[in-house]
Amino acid sequence: MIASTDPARTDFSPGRGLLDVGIAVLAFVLVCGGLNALLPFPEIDVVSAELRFFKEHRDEFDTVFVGSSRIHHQVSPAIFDRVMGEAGHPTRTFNFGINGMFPPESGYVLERLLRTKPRHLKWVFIELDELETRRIPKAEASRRSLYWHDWKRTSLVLRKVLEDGGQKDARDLFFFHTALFARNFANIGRKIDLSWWSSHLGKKTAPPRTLGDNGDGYVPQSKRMSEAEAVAYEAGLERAIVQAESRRVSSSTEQAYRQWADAVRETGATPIFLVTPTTAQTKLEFRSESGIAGAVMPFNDAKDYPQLYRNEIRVDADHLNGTGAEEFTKLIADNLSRLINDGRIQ
Amino acid sequence: MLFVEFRFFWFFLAVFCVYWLLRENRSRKIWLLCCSYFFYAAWDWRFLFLLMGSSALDYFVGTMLARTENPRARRGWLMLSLGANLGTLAFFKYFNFFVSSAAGLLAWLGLPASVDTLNIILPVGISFYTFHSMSYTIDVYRGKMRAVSSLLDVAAFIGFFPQMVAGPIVRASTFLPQLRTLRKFSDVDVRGALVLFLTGFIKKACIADSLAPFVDRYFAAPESFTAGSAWVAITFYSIQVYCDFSGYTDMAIASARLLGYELPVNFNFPFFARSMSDFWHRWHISLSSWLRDYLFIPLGGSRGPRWFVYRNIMITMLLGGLWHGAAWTTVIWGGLLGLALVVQREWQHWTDHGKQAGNGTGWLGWALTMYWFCLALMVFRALNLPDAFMAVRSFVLFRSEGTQDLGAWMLWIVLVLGILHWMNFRGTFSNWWRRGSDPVFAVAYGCAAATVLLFIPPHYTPFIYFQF
Repeated sequence: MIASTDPARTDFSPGRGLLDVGIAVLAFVLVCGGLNALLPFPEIDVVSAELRFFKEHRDEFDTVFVGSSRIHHQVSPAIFDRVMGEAGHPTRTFNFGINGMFPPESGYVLERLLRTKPRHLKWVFIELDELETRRIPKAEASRRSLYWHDWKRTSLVLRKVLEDGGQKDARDLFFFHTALFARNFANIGRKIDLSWWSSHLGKKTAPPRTLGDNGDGYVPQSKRMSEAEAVAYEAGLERAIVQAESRRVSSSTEQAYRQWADAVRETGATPIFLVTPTTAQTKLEFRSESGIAGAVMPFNDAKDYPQLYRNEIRVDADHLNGTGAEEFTKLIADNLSRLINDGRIQ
Repeated sequence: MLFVEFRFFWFFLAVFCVYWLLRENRSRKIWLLCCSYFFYAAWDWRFLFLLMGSSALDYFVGTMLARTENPRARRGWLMLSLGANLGTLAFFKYFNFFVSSAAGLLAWLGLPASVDTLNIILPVGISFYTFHSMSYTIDVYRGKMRAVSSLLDVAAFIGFFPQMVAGPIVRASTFLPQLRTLRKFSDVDVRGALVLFLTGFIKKACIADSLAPFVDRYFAAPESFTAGSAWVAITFYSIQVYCDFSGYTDMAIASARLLGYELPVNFNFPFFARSMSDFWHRWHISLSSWLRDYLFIPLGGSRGPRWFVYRNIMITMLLGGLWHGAAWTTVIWGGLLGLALVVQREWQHWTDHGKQAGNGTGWLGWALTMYWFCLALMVFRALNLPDAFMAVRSFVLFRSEGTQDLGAWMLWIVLVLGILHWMNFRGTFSNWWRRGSDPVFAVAYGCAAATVLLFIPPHYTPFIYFQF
């Protein structure tokens, strides 16, 4: 119990008071920053386990796909390597797609992945999409939504929120992401990571189940659409084709991809941006002439790639099933081989 | 808005800066009232009108009491205040409880009744601000204080945000005189308040919230756990509830102190109590003294024959239990603790004929007090009566068919916390933060705050006493 026993202070001056507050804030910020740098990478479901796995096997792979479930369930490294090998460009591929991992989280994970310094990395495929700023009610209290909120990512998201400006919930989103940044910077609740790290020190952890049967990060989906779902899908696709348009990506998104492309290039690898075959038939355009300084493979065009839009190879509007994934993977490999053979990519 | 949230920090910073920039007492009180209402509205703005209504009514009753000397009229005005305050409390807090209990009783008597309960939301802090409010009219009625002429003062007292939602229960006679005088910043013990706030934060966010998952796990299904787990769970829960509530109180007192106001002490090392009456002088002191002064003594207090005193104790404790929550588990909790007070009095009567409680009881008294407190707390925490019975059986008889184990090894946490608490009790930590210059204190405080945040769980848990 702390009692109020301090005698009245008679020597108080506002200037000195403010200076003391400034000193306390500075000490707080420095200690938070120091701890942030010293603490082990947070233990985030799936992400941490896959990063650990990749770090252990980093020199075995020369091609990596990074993105969301649209990568995780739709790109088969085994098929990709086979097709590339047949085309005379042998590769060894890892699928780093994680469900719900959209930019800028994917960019954060990409940087972490590159920080492991994989020596033979040649191709890095990055799923291309606008920066995700929405709140996801089920996940917003999770550590998964917190850990990537460093200043680099948060500033991009905040810029995107301001660019979208007119949104009804722009102010709410601005405060939401700022609060997540503050919580992340202040290392709130990171004792969990310390406990995890100390209890697993020197122990080998089992590879995550999300790596799939081949241990390459690919998990196909076996579901097929029901008749009713197929009818709804076809109608939705038809509407989307009619409404197909070109849209400029936001400058914050463009900046984010440019940053990631630069980071990939610094390791000696080549970034390639991938738009997966969703029913959103939007052609993304870039603001600057140099764009995002990397090759873009857009597969979200039902006219150019009708084979990827047959309802029998799809799970829903966003995802392909196992059969569709095989076709999609072959198309990516074919495209890459063509680009290499044409000398359009090194 | 919780005291442990970031947004409270920003809120308080704004309140603090503007408050001390204002020069006039009246402007400061208006500012405080606006901020207090904003604080309350952050939870649910609709119930703000209830708070305003309660303040206005009690101000009006106080004014009317000051105008008349007629005992009947005065009693009438007091009854209006008590009726309105307790009626509101009864409706919002106890309506569903009484209706469903009556329906249960009728069904048990073979007269099944189709009784609908209402979907009533419990306004946060209603049990606390109702008591704040009533203390004003009762004290004016008793002539312990004069009615205040300013509605602003009454509203600022009842709505004062640090103590509004979970106490400590402040008497009008303690707080209103403080509102009358202009507070000086030079009188504020800033260091003491900051350390007290951080201490409260550590108690709540680091200790109570870290123990909560274990406690929740046990009480979700007590029948699945071993008897040893019952001991671990209740030991953890007693620490959790203490750290949660006393942590909140510390933060409330510290926040008020930074604005120049003193709130009463609410906890005084209750785990070192050597008898049940000693315990109630140390645990939730503001409530126990409120119940003593406004319920137990008006009932007749300790005067009269023994059975009469015991009746008064039991009524006070049962109502005190009911105040904690609209459930039979809380009523039984109050009853068990009342029973302990009765047994203690009877014991004293037969042994040393009314010597001061706690004298000569020593370690045995401490052990019995803690044992009974834990037993009663088991009932208090249980989700329903069958669960309470199951948990108490495990705890008392060491018998349980459950196989899950919370792990007795975790009691080392209790040992560490116990040693720290004992050192604090002995005054080991008192005043050391006063040494050193202000910049040194500022650096230490900044470092300590940054380190503490590491040890809090990632998600906030609401204060336990918010539900009361």
